[in-house]
Amino acid sequence: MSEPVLRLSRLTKKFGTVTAVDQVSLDIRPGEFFALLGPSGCGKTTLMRMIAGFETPDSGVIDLEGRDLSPVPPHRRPVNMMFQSYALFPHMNVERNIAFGLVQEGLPKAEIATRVADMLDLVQLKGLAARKPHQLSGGQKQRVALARALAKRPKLLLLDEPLAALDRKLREDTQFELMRIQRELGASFMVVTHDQDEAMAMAQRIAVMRAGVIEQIGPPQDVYLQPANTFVAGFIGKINLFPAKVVAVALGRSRLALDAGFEMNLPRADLQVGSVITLAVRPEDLAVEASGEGAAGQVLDSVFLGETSLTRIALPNGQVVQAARMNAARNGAWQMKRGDSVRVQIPPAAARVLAS
Amino acid sequence: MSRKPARIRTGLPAWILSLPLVWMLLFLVAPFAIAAKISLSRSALAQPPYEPSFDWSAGVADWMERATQFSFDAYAGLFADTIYLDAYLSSLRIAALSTLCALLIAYPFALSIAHAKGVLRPVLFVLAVAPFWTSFLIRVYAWIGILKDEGLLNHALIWLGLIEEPLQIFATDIAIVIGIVYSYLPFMILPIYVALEKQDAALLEAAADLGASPWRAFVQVTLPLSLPGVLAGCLLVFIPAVGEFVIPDLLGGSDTLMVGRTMWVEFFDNRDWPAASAAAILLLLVLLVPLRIYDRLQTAEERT
Amino acid sequence: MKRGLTPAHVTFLAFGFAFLYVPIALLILFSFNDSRLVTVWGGFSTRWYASLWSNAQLVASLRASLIVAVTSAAIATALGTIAAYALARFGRFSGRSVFSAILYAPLVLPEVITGLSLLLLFVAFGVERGLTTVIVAHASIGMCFVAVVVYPRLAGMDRSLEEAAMDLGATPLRTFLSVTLPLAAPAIASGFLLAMTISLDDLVIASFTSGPGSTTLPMRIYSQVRLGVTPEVNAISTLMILFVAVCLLLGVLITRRAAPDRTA
Repeated sequence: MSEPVLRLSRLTKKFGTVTAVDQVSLDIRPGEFFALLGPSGCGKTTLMRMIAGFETPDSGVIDLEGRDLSPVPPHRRPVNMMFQSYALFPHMNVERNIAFGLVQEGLPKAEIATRVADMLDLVQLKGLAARKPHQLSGGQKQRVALARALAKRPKLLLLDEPLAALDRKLREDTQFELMRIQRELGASFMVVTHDQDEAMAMAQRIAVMRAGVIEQIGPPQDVYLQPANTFVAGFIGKINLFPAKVVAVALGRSRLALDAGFEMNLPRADLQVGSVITLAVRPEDLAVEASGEGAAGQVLDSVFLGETSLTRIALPNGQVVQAARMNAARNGAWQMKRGDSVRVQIPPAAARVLAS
Repeated sequence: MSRKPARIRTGLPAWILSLPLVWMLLFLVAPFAIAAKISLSRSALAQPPYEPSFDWSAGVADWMERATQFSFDAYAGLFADTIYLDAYLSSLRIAALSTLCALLIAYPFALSIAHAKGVLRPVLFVLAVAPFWTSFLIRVYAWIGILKDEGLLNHALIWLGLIEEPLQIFATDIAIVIGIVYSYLPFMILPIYVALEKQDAALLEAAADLGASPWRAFVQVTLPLSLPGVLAGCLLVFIPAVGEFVIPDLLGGSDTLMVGRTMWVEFFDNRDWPAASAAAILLLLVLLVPLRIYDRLQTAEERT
Repeated sequence: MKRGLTPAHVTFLAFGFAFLYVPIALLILFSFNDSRLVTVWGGFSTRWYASLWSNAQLVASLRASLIVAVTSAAIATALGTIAAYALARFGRFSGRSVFSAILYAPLVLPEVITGLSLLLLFVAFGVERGLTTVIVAHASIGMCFVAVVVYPRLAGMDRSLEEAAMDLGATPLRTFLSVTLPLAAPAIASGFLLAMTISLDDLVIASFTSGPGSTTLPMRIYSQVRLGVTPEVNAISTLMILFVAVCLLLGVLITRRAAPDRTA
């Protein structure tokens, strides 16, 4: 693997008594689309602002291609940022906004003109060069902000909630647009977002952050399928958590007694007899049948969501679980409704043992 | 998320940023120290017409020695003669009365502007505060011709048959109150209008929806929410009115007592600088309480 | 605010505007009065305007007033803008509340107090009184007004605009000059106009701080007004009102032009 573009080591930032970023270490590879995902207040924005130079870390190192960035003021850092508010200069037109960074570099006029034209091409805004920001739609503003940040050809582009201000339909189109631009330029992108769908859709790797700490880093599939803990499991998608006790381990299998009132086998032998564990199961993995094995449950309600239906089921111990079911024609016409008695089973292959 | 700027990175070097501070210390703070100092000097007819109680050029030891020469004569003088006490009391009374009158005129006026729709509202507002931009002196002057015994008001009233003998308004306290209300009205309108204008229309709709009559909605919702604006307006009128000079001088009579005018006379006509300084310092002390309230109001406004 | 005017509102507005504008209207009307008696209409005439220009003292004081107003407003604008910038950009600094209290106090403090103490300062330092001292005095008051007008604009400005400029390679100074200053320009311009108006209008502080030979226009008008109401004073008042009305209109037009550029 090639050298990382950006390497953060044990980066820490405190605001008074609150530790916003706590000993964070991560690498961003050349040409990578990286997402920093977490709920609001988890420190992801502070982390990004430290990379851009707007906050000073209390300790730790920000290393860009082998060079320590800490003594470098924001205006000399070879990273650029796309602001959540876009921060387009309202007194300059689109062209001058995009050219702003190039003018600061003191590039010759002709070169600036070519690069601005290239950028307008890239974000498909040809013909709008003379517009002022207040004459643009939300989506156009977003593209200008992107073009302006990319015009300087940064090693690393930071994007602060790039899609948050767009409406839902536009957001999906823009996701693909951002991915196309990132592929075309081959630059590294680091997106900060609180939206897990957005992170999953765009990023090659995701870092999930909580309370200043990175809980897990990995490709979307890994984070989704092998969440490191209950927080990650719950934050990325929906999840059902079943507390269980290990009652026996033998022949490469473990026997679990679930609080929900049934027992099942798990094909692994590395568990301690008597220990209490948590089983995590995605709603789409939960098997729900009208009759048969498993825990007896009662349907509380069922919502039709188009391609799937989501059903909430109460188990004998009072726990409420969610089950998703594809509404494909081949799955038949069985629709669960409130009050139905059902049987809930956990397919052993779909259950993951989590540290809480 | 709390985002305090870690490093303050300002576009201007520190020495430029400190220029206003230096200027303020020199021309807005030092003068009061000197006024305080001169109020503690003995009156003399020399040029400048005061005998310094101490001299900075003479050094600290001398300063200490001369410090014993501080004289409270000027302050004692203020109280020896009831004319100053009367002037202070009369100023406070006239300023308070003017503030009340200005409030009674400005509130319904500002409320009516705030009720106007669309483009009419800013137009009315600009028209209401526009007189502030014209010369204060001229606006006071305009009232002389109106209020004089043979002035336009008396002409009009006699012509209408409402009175037979001209009313004596000019050169009375009433004329001063009219002058103050007229001159300072924009200062009352501005903060009240701002407080009313920013109120959410949905608040009154919610009040109506919950069964409040328009009057009750006004008393229980609109009025309480506009009180900071009312307070600001009252202070903006009251504080300068207490020390007003031009209005009592032009519209008041020769027997009108207002401290601003008394000071002026003491200074320019009697050339008693310590007495005038003592009067100024005392006035400043009197105004310290409303000034403090005004300052706190400004700070609170800044935070929102 | 629920919009819409009831008859009561219209009455209040009519009364309020009558109170504000009738005295000014009468003043203007009687400046065209042929009679020297200001309260009796003697026919239309512009002769008082013509006689203004032959009044050398008046013209000299107008010149002095304009010099003082423009110079002091320029100084006040520079200092006031910097003061507002310091207040807006340094979150909390020690002495901030004292700093802002000193900045706000002259807005309401009776002018006799300010004027008298400034005079005493000049005397204490042996400064010869003249146009310069009036300029310094007016700049000191003006900077407070400028700061109060510019501060909300700077404080309300999206900080990420300045950060974006720095992120794109602009030095802090370049950021200030190419982003902060242009965005605050409408407020700075109205601050300048305000400082100039206050200077042109001031009688009390100028009376205290001016010396022989530096009589400003309000001082000249005041000495004439004390002698009684004359059509000449009405005429010069009318011209000043006209001047202010034109400035105000220009100001409104400038802000209107700048309005669409506002950052949300």
